[in-house]
Amino acid sequence: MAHTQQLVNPVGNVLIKFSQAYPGKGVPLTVSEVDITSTLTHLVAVEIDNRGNGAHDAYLRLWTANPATIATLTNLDFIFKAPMGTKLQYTINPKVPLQGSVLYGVITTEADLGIAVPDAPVNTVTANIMACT
Amino acid sequence: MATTSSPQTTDLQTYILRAEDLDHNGEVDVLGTPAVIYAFEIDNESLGSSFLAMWNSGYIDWTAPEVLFRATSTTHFVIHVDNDFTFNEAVSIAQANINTGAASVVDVDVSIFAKRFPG
Repeated sequence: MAHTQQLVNPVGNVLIKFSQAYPGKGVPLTVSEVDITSTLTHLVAVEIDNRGNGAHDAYLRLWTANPATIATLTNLDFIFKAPMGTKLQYTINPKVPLQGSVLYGVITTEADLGIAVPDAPVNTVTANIMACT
Repeated sequence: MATTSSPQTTDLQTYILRAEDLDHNGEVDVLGTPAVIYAFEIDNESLGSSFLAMWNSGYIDWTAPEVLFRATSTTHFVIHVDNDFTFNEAVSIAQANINTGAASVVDVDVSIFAKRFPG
């Protein structure tokens, strides 16, 4: 299951809190729309907390249009890796233009783009995404 | 008194790498060592999008990039990573016109600032 929450500040930046957790091996991942009300133009920063996911790296995949599955390559524009046991932040300077106006995301333990179902369960991994309108 | 001269190697060794005209075949183990990356820069001078991919391994595999950034046409930016962005096997990089690594985009330069791992 995935959960998103967003905050918009007065200058138009959008902070999206995105977390995803799965009960076990073999559960299909669901791609979530990580922003639902704003027209996004740029990506500013991403923070991923992968400290509670055991011995698994985590990958946050972001699309700039709605993908059918997590194995869809069309409009897959970004992958951010959080090695096992880490919490890290990517800051992009200057902010990078987005090809589309929305972001869809998923967190998985697989780097292989063709795998639609993870080999390993993903415990709760949280990502904060800063974009702007 | 004995003296020594540069270059000198210390345990705290950092690397600055610049890969000009990186292509889709990529560069394997660009630093020659496992490393922690602190920042990387993408300078896409072309009129098409470029996808930069990175792997923590000694080979290029476009079916499983561990890091992927789309740099739209004529964009130039730096990505800072604040903590523990560790490539404990090797740092391998490539860029292409689409995210499957089909063909190269001309005039894409990549720079990396990293520290040897373990330090």
